[in-house]
Amino acid sequence: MRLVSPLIEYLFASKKMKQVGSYEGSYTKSVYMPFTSNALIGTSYYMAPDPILNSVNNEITAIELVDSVTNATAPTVPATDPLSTGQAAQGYFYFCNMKREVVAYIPLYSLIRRLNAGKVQFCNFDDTIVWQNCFVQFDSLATAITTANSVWLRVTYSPIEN
Amino acid sequence: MNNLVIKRSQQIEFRLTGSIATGKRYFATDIPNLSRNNVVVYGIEFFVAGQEATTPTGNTVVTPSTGVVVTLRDNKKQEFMYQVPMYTLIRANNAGLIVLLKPRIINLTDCYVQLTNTTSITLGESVAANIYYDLVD
Repeated sequence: MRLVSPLIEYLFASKKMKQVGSYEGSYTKSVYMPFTSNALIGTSYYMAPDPILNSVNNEITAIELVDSVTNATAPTVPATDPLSTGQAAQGYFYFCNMKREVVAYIPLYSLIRRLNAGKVQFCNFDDTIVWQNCFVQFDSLATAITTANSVWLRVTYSPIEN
Repeated sequence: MNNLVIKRSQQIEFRLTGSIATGKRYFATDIPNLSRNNVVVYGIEFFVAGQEATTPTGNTVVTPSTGVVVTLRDNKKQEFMYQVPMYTLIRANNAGLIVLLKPRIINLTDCYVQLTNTTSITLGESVAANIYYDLVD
């Protein structure tokens, strides 16, 4: 017999908590956002439209920022450098819904998996997240982010069962 | 082992204004849409400057985490989390685990931090945190 406290049961049932190392999602893909000019403070850098992540038929279940230690070079054309931890500490990722309302935002640094002892950041949004409404914003740029850099996100998603 | 899942999250900050002193209460700054006792918080995470250089409102984040304690108050003025060291609430110090709380309605502007040591802390800086929450129905 396994005893589960009502609080633990509630957090599981309401999808506010999940086992570490458990199923992340059905599919995962990398998304790259290169910069066409040096990043500026306060500018919203929107994600490119993505037919899969934009779909109301898929939900984002986990997200990771790939930094320059995790992978030295991003496979963009031309090749770019993923953000370093110092650069990531300057920005945030904003999740937005259909109406461009910000549902959640998280410091990029907090999404680097290796710095969280291998634990990926799980998500479960009640709102439909529209990928092209999501954006990255920097609030300081003591360490410049240039055209040689890109934001590399690994997004895990699952189809919504209708 | 379990970890938090994000439903909604928002950055909050405790601005160190007036003077820098140990024991003084620095309250959370007002966020109009979250300051009406309408937020059920179930997780919290703090950051230092190495993880988050500047808050979205443009304030520099404090560098050390070892001289700050955090108190959260609910909508009944109960200090349900009293003087917890900020260091304990930093994810990277907990092997990537975010601190989960029993879900409670908080009175955001009633929550505060206090300094226990002022070394390397400058007037005007902010103590930055992310709350993970649901809205009250």
